[in-house]
Amino acid sequence: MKILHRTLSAHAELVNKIDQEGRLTDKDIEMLINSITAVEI
Amino acid sequence: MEKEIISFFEKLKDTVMKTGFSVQISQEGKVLSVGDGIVKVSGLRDAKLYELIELESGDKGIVFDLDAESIGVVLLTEKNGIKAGDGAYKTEQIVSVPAGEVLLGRVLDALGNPLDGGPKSEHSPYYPVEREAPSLLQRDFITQPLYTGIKLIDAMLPIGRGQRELVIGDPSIGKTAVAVDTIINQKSSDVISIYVAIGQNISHILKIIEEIQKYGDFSKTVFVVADASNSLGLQYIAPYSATAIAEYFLDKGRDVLIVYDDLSKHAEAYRSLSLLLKRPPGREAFPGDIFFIHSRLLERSAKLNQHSGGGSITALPIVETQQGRISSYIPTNLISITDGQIYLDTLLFNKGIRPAIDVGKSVSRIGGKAQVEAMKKVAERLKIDYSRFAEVEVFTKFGAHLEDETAKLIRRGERMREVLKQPRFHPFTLSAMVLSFVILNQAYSMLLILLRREPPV
Repeated sequence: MKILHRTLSAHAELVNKIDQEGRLTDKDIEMLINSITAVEI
Repeated sequence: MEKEIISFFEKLKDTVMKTGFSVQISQEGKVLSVGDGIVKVSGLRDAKLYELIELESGDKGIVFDLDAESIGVVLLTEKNGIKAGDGAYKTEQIVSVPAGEVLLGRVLDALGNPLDGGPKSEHSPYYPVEREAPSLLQRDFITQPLYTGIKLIDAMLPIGRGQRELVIGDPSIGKTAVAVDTIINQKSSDVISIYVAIGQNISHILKIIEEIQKYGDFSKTVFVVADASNSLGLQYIAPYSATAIAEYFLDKGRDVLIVYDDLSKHAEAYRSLSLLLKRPPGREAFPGDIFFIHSRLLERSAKLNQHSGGGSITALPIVETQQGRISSYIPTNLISITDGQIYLDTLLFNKGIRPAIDVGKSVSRIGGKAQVEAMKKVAERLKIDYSRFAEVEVFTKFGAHLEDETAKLIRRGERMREVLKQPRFHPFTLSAMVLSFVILNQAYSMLLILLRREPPV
């Protein structure tokens, strides 16, 4: 849960894009994974 | 002078014409016999089906049976000691309930009277409890999602606004919890929630009210309560009353979520009434029209097109099974009426898996069309993989040698199960759900830290 919250709060724009427009591109997924890996590992 | 007199009479004529006077003749009948929750009345020849009848004692009832000599009236109240020989009067009204914004945040009985100690809603429009379902021309396709906040449902069994999704399972394994969590998740949406309790015990209802007050937005919720101590008539009418309240918001173009908790008890109340009225019993002693009373109720949940206001009523009817028998009469009826079912399994519940949803036996027939692109992208293969995992999981129990492919599937299934576990009152936002599945699908090493398990394949 902590990781989810941390990652989501670091990407407010993307969160907004998903929650409001329901859109997600491959590029977004890549960015999310890189961001998790960078922060946590 | 003559002109003035003529104009005065013309104005008077117009006013009289506009007023629309009519003569009402109220017939008086007599109570022939009094049963448990029903009375037989004679002398009300012109009584209509579902008409409200008032008795001399002040009690009210609905016309349920029309015979040549007498009518069968189902009592809504029976507080004043009804006697054979009492007078019975036609009201020329079909039972209706108050509706409107003022009901939000209120707890009401099945006739719309307050149970929360608050004032009775005056000047509210009245809606008939029995109304025809929206016609074909008024309806639209289901395209907008209704998020439950429960990862498993929103990813694998998505619900659309206007859909009817049955929640089915044995007693005390989390059926109400799924529905209540869905209401709680509407805190951050524009959806109005209505919870109907039918034949439940009062302490259970009180617990649900408290949960929604604590975790949800009570000011966007209406409670319609017909508890186990209420008359059979009130228990029977409660879901129709609640739907009438929902229809007010539907007519205003709003989106409504309605939870019927539960329709097994509703069917039992109707069975008792029918047997008391000496209607011929059918399978499991239910009357022949048991399917119709539920189908006409659930058909009132729909998505309307923009021309008709664009509102929607999403229904989550709950039905109880005994020892997992989903093939018994009422569950099969409801499965065929609704647009899918969420099946809760006792074995999963006993293993500590929450929510205890059996993905293999659950389905959402139309919700997939309402699923947003982001969720589709990350949850596309989830349902198939999870169902396959549930099938092959049993092989791990007796140490059978597994093919690489099966072993891989089991490991992925176990990871999925952990990700899909979710405690109560913790609704996930869409972005949090999407991110969970991104981690599940693509960031295995991350997931290991999350789950503290051995290395993945």
